[in-house]
Amino acid sequence: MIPDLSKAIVTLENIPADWIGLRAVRETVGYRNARDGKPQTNGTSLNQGVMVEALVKGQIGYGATNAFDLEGIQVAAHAAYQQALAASKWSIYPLTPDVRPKVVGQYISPYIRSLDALSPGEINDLLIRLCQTLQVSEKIVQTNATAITNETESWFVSSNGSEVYQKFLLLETHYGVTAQDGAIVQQRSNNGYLAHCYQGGWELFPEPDLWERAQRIGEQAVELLTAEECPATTTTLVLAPDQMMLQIHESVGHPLELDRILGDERNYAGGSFIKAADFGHLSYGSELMNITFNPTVAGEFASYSFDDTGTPATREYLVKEGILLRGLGSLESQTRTGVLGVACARASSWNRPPIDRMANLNLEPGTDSFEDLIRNTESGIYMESNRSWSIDDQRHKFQFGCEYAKLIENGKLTKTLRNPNYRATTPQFWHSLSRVGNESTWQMYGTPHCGKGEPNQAIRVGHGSPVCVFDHVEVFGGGV
Amino acid sequence: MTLMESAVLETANQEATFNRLVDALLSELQPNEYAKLELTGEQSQFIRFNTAKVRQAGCISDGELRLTLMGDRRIAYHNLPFTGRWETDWQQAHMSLQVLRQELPQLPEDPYLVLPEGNATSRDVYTGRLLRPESAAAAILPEVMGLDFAGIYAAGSLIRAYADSAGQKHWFTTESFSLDYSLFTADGQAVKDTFAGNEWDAVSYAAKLADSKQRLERLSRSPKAVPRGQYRTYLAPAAVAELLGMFSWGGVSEASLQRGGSAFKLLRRGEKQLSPAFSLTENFQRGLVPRFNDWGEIAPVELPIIQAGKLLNTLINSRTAKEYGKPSNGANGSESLRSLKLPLAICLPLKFSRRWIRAYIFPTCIT
Repeated sequence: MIPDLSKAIVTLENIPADWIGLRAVRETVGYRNARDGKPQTNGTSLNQGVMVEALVKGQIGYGATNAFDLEGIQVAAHAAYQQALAASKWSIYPLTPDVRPKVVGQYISPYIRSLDALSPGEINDLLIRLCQTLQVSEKIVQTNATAITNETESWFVSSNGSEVYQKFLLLETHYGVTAQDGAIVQQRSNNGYLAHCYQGGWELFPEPDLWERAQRIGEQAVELLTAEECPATTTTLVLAPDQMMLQIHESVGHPLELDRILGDERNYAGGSFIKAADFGHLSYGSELMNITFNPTVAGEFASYSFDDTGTPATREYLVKEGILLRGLGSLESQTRTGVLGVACARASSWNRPPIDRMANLNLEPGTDSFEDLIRNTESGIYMESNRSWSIDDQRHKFQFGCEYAKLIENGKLTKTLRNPNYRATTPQFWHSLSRVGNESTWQMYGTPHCGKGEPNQAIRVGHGSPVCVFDHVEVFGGGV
Repeated sequence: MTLMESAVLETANQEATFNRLVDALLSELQPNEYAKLELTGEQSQFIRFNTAKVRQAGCISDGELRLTLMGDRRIAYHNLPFTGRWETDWQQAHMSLQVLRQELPQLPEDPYLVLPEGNATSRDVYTGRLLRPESAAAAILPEVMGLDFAGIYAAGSLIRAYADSAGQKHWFTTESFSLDYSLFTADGQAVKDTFAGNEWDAVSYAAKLADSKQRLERLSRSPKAVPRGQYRTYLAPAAVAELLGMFSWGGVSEASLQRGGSAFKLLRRGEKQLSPAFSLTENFQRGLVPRFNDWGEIAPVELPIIQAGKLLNTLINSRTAKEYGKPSNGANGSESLRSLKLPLAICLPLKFSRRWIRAYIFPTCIT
């Protein structure tokens, strides 16, 4: 493909652009889902196309086509040129080819068993058996299990000599139940909806403890039907990594996106309470807070070597010892703001322009074991698995809900609580971070559904975190 | 030739290519095989705005064909690119059929499989008068110069089509535009609105902006602090649209109600009711969205969902109907609202969606 795109670039020399780039993407997806032990969806997809970027008079124009051939690329390139030329009279900021430096390289996801190692029949057998295992009681009114395979290849070639090939093998799995007793309905799942998203192959699933976990999930859903409501109080909150994932994503990732700070996203995704002038000195959280942008973690969902503009990806601290250092911004956004950023210009596919996105955003581990974290909490609540979320358009005030909680009394986990929720403001919450679990408590998850952008783009992100303790947090149950 | 001009020519060929693919694929079916084909496509332009300037602008030519094969009580689908070029698309589609034939015997039986039946056909083509792609920014931005204006302009042609082995066939295309925007005050408060339709009219656009500017002026006045408490609250149509969008998140879906996934279970059980001032209807009269669903069935022109605060009907598709023994009312696969309407229509936001188009009509509401 690289030679084909390089030849195509040569045929575009008659277009008077300052820079032209071609990004081709081919995505092959298998989607399989069972509900209540019966097949619900068995589908496969091939999606492919080319995005042409043309830089003209400081403005980048985009032309995308799913015609995967020279003629299609040429038509798309002329469209990109015309769009750039027309928009250049109204350009928000004059860009130069410096935002698309030359780069050559490749990346391939680490894997052991390829994504075609299991047949459609074998995958269905697994999902159906999962549903059956989850069905621990007649109070379980729905069981479901999903497996999604995704092999995505991308090729990036530019008029200044860039040549990048990247191949991603992705496996997303989910299973969970709905339990009902009269008007009471509770859900329990494997760490939240589709949280098990990783790079790799079928070595990731089934996990050795799959059946035991499924049994426990079914039992916990039934347990929640008769559990006490989460009390409305202010207390110590202990969050599991499968909820920290959402916490990091919504209250650290999104507010640090430079395009939100620049106002590009205000009509849809929103802005940010962070200002460009805050970087380098703002105290974002307690000294225990260390957040890295890390696309180098093997197996994490959004690892890569280059973003979709070819910028080499490296691990960077966004927040170190509580101080805000760097934003989630591409070279374009860095140029516009003067703020340090990362390699995060990403597009959901060939038919969307790259914008500032999270990739892997992780909270670095601390020193305490899980047992120590609980033992040192006299009174509090431990919450697991995201169930709902709501946060304002500036990413300042939020309210999140979890599937499952335990009361902590005198340093011990005691009663199960249902409908656990908590609310806070972002600076207050992160400054209340009082203890951070060690490496043994660190877990990573992901989601393919981070939404942003106009036209809308859903993209994959990964988040890793240890168990964390937050002091003086307002918690409440389902009736408040 | 520009991509959009090329797209116009290609759009003219796409129906012919789709029909030819349908004929060719269906003629390949064995006697015990059933199939359906669903097409989505777009030839569109987008411009993103921030501070009344252009952030990003581009054109997209895209299409996807879903081939679903059924037989021996089993079902599987394959999505493939649809370019409108016969040679390319036929090669892919034929290969997809072979892949599905290999896969089908490996799958478990589906007890709720809905085979194609019926003889519904339709052909709806809505042409429009859109801005030329290279002149769109110049037509939009002068009206908002000096304002903090952000949003997206999207325009072009959309295709939705369906055909199956029972002989049902539908074709729907529309040319339309949507300018979804916000005007901001100095302290970040926003007037949010949408200017959308099939024909761009500069006079109507100027009138729309004049109204938005007036609201912005009101919003820019010093705010009055309101203590926490209960108030009669006026919600603008855009806000009502956001609220009602949640009704599609399993809210009035029969399947969701059956499986504990709807927030309206107490409404269904008659233990609660909404305000008697609230009624909600699925209404296709304006013809802005296709009435056919994932099985080629035609939905009724009008279906009351909530009447005077009570749940009157739920959305039921054929699969749910089979599973729970209920009559289908032509709902789509996800049993979501496609063309909902409240009484007293005063606003029409039209949004582009990847798989389906939805049109919502909302009045201002008081809560």
